[in-house]
Amino acid sequence: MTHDEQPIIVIEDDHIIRDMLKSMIEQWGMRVHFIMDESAAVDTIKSLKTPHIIILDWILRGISGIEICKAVREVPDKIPHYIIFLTGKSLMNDIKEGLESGADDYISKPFDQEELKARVQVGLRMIRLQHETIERERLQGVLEMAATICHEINQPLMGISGLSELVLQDAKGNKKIIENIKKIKDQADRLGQITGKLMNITRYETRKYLKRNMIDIDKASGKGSVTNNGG
Amino acid sequence: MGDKMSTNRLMIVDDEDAILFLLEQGFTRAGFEVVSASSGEEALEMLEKEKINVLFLDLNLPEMDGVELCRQVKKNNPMSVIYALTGYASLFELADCLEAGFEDYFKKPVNLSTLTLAAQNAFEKLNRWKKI
Repeated sequence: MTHDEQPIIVIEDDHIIRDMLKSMIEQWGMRVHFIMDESAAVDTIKSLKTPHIIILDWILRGISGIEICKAVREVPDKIPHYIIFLTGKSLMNDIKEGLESGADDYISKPFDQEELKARVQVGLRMIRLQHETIERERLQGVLEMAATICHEINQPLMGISGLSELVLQDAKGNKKIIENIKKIKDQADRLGQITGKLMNITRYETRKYLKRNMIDIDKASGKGSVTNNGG
Repeated sequence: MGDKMSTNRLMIVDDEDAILFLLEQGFTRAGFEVVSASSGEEALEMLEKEKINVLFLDLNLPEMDGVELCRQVKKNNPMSVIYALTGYASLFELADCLEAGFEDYFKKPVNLSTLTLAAQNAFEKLNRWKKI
């Protein structure tokens, strides 16, 4: 499920506004999930594994939206939730307090459907951008690691490949030796192709190998396969 | 010695003994005379005593790297033909190399026959220049 397909989390104790939000959000082709028990809202939000758009009413029974917002922000998330306050308050000080409690945006009641939709889209865009940044950083780490390893491996590889060439010259007609050394050289050259591909990785693609994800260096380097028989 | 220098004498610079060992043998067998150095400083010292026009430099040398070494060699001897050897190839690095005056660029692992062919071409080129 991508972040665009995650349900929008709504905490709102007024059932009329809840119904309104439900029909609006579903009309946009998105799903909505209401947290009905406000006292458990913080725990429910903290248990979410991925970043969500959260529409939060300011004034709730028993707990204020501000308290929920602050509590949610206490936990550092790799990508934080995008919290939009839905509030009847619209004084400058209220807005300031709401944003300072950790909210990303606010919208005053009564609100316009199109405006809310646009603000939700901004939130989705923020989450997507943060995903992309993390992915890029991860790729950067992979690339730097690959380059370092390849550089180290290419040195001894040069030795193996070159010395096989010399032994091949010395083999003078000994078919068995020639055949074996050729194979050693082939294998060394194959390793050389692999390090070459690793250093050419510009994007990050994975494939399944024995149930684990591994980087698909063929796809990622934009070149053909180096494995002969499925590796 | 004067101007009459050996027509098949080349220099290799690499900080790894195994690579020097390999290249020495490869080039010697192909009929070249080989002078080897394991650092840029050592190479420059040797070049002060003897003019060598064809060089193969590892880029990743301790202290002075291959690109800097190439610049210095070219400054003293603009006619020299210098090849880069590297375990790490990138377009960015390649641009640096060309700017420093490298003739060409080989990514390790590279076939010995490719290197000896490059050496051969370099000497042919130098011979042509000598006749101008």
